Amino acid sequence: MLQYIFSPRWFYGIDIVFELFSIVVVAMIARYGHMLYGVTHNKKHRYFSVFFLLIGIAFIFKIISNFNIYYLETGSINIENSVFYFQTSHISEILFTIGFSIFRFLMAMAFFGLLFINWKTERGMFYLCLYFIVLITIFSHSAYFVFHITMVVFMTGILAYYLKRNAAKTPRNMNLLLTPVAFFVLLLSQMFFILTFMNLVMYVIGEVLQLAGFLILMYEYVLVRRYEK
Amino acid sequence: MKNRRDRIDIIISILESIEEDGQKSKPTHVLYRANLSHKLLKKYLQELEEKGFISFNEDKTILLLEKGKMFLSELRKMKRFMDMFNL
Repeated sequence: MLQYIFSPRWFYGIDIVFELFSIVVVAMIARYGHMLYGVTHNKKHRYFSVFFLLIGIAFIFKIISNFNIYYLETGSINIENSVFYFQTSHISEILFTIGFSIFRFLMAMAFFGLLFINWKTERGMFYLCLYFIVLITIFSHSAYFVFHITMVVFMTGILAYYLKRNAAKTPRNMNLLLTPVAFFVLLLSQMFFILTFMNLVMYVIGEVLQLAGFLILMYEYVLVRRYEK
Repeated sequence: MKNRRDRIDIIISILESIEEDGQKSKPTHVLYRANLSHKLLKKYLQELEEKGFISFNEDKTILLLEKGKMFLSELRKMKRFMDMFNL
C-alpha cells in the first residue's frame, strides 16, 4: 500500500498532542452548550453542543489514523517535498482509510452544522449539503485539498455570520470579537493545509494555527467561567 | 426559537428582581420588574420553587435561596456564553 502523509517526520506526535488539546477544548464547550440547553430548551443550543462534540470525535479518529501511520509504518521514500509511506499491514491500510474518512466526514459535518444553525438555512438545503459532504469525504481521499477547500467555505460562512451579528451590536465589546477571531484563525489553518503540497512546513503552520484557534476558544470559555456580575 | 431564547432572560429577571429586594420580594414587585403576565410569572415561580431556587414565606413573599443565588450566577455566565457565541 502507498500512503500519502503531510507531516514532517520531526512533527510526528506533536500534531497528536495539539489535537488532544483541541479535543479537551471542544469537549468543554460542548458540555457547557449542553448545560445551556438544559436551561433554555433551545434546539439551537443543543445542536451547537452536538456539533462541537462532533469536532472532538473527528479529532479522535484523526489521532487514531495518524497514530496508525506514524507508528506502524514499515518504510518510506522522499520524492521532492512529499513523503510516501509503505505499509505491509492490510489492517493498517483499512484503519487509515476508514479513520481518515470518518475524521473528514465528521469535521465537515460539524462545521457545516455550525454554519447551518447560524444562517438558519432551509431543511432541504441541509440534506443537499449532507449529500455533498458525503461526496467530498469520498473524493478527498484521493484529492485531500477538496476537503480543506470545503472547510474554508464553511468557515468563511461562519465568520461572515459572526461579523454581521457583531457589526449590528452597540456598544462594541472586544470580547465578542474573540469568536470571529478564533474562526478566522481556524480558516487560515485550513488555507495552509491546502498548501501542504508545496511544502510540508505548511502542514506544521496549519496545525499551529489550528491550535491557536482552539486556544482562543478556550480563552473565551475561561472568560465565561470566571465571569462575575 | 425567539421565545425559547427569552426563557433564560425571564428567569434571570425574576431572580435578579428578588435579589435586588434583598433576597426577599413581593410577587407584585417581581411581576412589574420582570414585566411578565400573572400566569407566566406563576408558572416560572412554581418551576423555580420545585427546583429549590426560591421558597415562599408565610406572608407570601418570595425568598431567594442559596441554591438560587448560585443558579443566578451560573445563568449570568450562560448569558455571557450566549453573547460570545451569538447563540
